[in-house]
Amino acid sequence: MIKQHILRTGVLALSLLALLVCNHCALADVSEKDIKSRLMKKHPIEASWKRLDVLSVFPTEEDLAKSRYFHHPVDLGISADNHIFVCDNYLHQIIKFNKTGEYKGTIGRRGEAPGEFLFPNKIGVSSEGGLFIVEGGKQRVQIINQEGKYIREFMVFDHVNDFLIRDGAIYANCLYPDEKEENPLVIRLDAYGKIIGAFGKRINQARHLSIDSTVFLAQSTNEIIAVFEHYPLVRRYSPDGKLIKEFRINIDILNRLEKYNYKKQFTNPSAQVIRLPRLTAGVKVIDDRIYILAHLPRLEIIEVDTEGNIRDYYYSEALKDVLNLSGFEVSRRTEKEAGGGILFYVLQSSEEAKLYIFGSNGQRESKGIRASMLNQGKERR
Amino acid sequence: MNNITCANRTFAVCCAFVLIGTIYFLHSQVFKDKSPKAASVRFISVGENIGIVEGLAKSVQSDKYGFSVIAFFNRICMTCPSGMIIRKLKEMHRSYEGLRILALLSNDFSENDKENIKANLGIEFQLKKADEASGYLLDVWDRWKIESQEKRFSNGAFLIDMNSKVIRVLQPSKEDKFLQFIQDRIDKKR
Repeated sequence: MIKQHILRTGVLALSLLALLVCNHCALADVSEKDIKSRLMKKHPIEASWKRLDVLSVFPTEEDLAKSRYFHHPVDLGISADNHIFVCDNYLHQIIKFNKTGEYKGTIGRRGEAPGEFLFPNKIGVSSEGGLFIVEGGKQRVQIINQEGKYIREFMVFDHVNDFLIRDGAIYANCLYPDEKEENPLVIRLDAYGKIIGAFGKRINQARHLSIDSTVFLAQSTNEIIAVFEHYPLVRRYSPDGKLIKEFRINIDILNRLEKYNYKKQFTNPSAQVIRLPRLTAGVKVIDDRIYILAHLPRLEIIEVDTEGNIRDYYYSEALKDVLNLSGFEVSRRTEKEAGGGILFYVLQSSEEAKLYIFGSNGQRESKGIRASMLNQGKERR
Repeated sequence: MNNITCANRTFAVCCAFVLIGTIYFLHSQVFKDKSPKAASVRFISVGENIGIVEGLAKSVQSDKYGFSVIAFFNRICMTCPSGMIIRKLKEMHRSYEGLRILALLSNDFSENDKENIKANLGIEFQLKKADEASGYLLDVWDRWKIESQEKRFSNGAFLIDMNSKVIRVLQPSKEDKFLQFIQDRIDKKR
């Protein structure tokens, strides 16, 4: 009798223990890839979407034969004269291409001297053509010309997620070690690195730290656009930091992904680990249109107007099972160049390490797909 | 009969706890951290007298709290240990009037960088570049520079008493303990 009781209770305790362990393991093992793959099954290609054609890929077999390749490309920038500059973190170099993706050489080499780079991880191009390179290994921003000639440098003390250059000032979104009320979404630095302004409220999720407020930045003639990486949110600011409008990108899969950001057991499987599914991978503005690269296993680009209405939806099946998209640029083709349309430059970092150039078929204005406007004129906290 | 059953149940629950405890203990023994302990820094040791450094050392002597903080930085990154030290020293300097802190920056920092550190990070304590140091403090800096490059440290720090004797040295990855030691010293004096 006693033995039976002991046995029963023991079995029960062990079962509970096993259940707890299994539950913990199951939650800890849920990956961003798993979640996205699951959600993609309910996210088919729609008839109204525009298919993108791959116009160019780097590196090709020929490039590889000539020892031209990426190791770990992490960001790209485009100059006013349509040259593409890719920042390679592990090659410690900037790789230059023309508008059509033709390889034009490299800039710099590994080192700490002026004109050399140590783990460059972000690149921006000023309207005058200066390249601003943020080096993770040296905590500095180095400014060089397009031929690689050193101009000047200054140190940065926070981790820069994304930045842009406008009227000689640098607008940067940074990571902060602790989430504090006074931390801004965007800081404005002068050309020598001194903070001259700050604006924007961050999203403060309990225990999520400042990763919640990583945004991609783009600029139009009169505005700064911020798109959140982990939330389907877009904000439009004036250059002096006044919020003009906030709207949501109302795509079902992004809304579903966003929900994972509120599940603590997923996002914080342990005290030291923070994992949030990425919703977006970049933003660019041409004229009055905002192009947002969705961070999904299939290449998808959302074109919205300044009111948040989705005007076009581009996709390509050339990229499948994408894990890491690290750079995005957009330029317009002239009528002489294959009948106009838009060029999308997409950088894939890990796994493939490739630069893709996609072209739309030149058509503009499909019939409105879906529209969404939420929380107009106020910032969500 | 009921009493017996109850006792049996209690016994069984206890057994289960013992079992769980044993599994937890065995698990922690198997997977315990076997990484080697970090070696202590060599560039300076407790008891060493850094002497009177012309101009600079005098300015860091403090009689209010009986000690001064000297911190070295090869780089400053706010999400790294160097940032933690900077933030905490900044807080302490603001909170405790008369607390003397001197930060020496590597010569890789330009004058513009020094000004940006002050302005962007709101630093109000003394901030100097290594080439502005002299005497024994410069020797200590040179030793630190070699060791920090060898061991890839980005920051170091130590406390000196009113007689310029080193009373505490920041050990790698022990920023918390070092800062707590400072806090305790301040609390004792207040």
